[in-house]
Amino acid sequence: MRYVKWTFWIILLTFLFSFFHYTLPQHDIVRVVRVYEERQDFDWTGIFWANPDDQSTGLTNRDVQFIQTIRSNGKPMVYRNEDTGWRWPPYFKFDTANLQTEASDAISDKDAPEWYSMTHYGWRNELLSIFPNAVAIKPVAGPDARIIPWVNIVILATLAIILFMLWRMWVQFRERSIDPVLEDIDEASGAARDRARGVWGRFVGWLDTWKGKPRR
Amino acid sequence: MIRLAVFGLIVLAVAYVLVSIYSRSVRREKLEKKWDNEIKTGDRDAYIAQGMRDYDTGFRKKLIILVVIVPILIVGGLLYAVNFM
Repeated sequence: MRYVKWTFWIILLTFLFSFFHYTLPQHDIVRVVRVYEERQDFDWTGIFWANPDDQSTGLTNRDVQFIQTIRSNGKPMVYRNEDTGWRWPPYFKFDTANLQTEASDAISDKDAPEWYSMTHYGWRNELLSIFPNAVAIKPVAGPDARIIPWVNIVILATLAIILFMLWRMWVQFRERSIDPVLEDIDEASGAARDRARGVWGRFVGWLDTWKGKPRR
Repeated sequence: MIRLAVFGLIVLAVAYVLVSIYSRSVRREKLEKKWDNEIKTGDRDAYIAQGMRDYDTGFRKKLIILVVIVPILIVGGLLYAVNFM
C-alpha cells in the first residue's frame, strides 16, 4: 500500500511539474543567427506543435517558421515560431509574421554579438524533433542579463489563491451542510449514530491511510 | 475562438455560482455569530433574515460579478500585450 501511495504521488507531481514547465513562459538570453522556414510532416509528436484549424481537416504537413540562435552559454537553440491563436496554451499569439521580422532584424554575428531575451514556452527535444515556441523577443544589455519571471510569479500565485479559495469553500460547505446533518443523526439515535458515523468515519479513516495512519 | 468562448463562459459561470454560494454562507455564519456573541436579544431568525435581505440588495453581492469580468479583461489585456506591444 505504501508503494502504491508513493507511486501515485510521484506520478501526479511529475505530471504537474511537466505541465507547468512546458506551458509557462521562460526566457533565454540568445544571439539570433538565422531565421528560416521548413516543411514539416507531423506524426504523433504533432501534439508538441501548433494545431491550426485547417490542419484538423486532414492537413498532415505545412510550412513552419524557425529561429536559429546561440544561447549565452554557447549552446545552440532553435525555436519554432507559430501562432497559438485561441487554442492551448493561452498565449493568444497571432503575430508570428511580426515576430519573424523582428527576429531577422536581430541577427548578429560572433564578432559583434547583440543579445536578446527570447520569451518562449515548450521543450526542445532532439530525439522527438520538437522545438519550443518563441513568443516575444526583446533586446537586453548583455549575455549576463537577468530576467525576473514576473508572469510566472503572478500566474502561480493566482493558482495558489484559487486553490486556497476552493479549500475554504469545501471547509465552509462541510461545516455548514455536512456536519449539521451528521450531528442530527448523532442526536437522533445512539445506535444509528454508530452506523452514520461509520460512513463518515470510514471515509476519514480512509483519508488518514494516505497520511500513513493505521486504519481505525 | 468559439470553443474557448463556450468553455470559458461555462467555467466562469460555475466559478460565479460557487463564489456566490460561499459568500452567502459566510455572510449567514457571520450574522449568526454576531447575534450569539453580541446581540443575544430579540428574535434570532428575524435578525438573520434581515441581515440576509441587506446582503441580497447590497453592493458586496454585486461585486461577485468581477469573477466573470476580470478574467475576460485579462484575456483582452494579454491579447494586446502579446500582439501589439
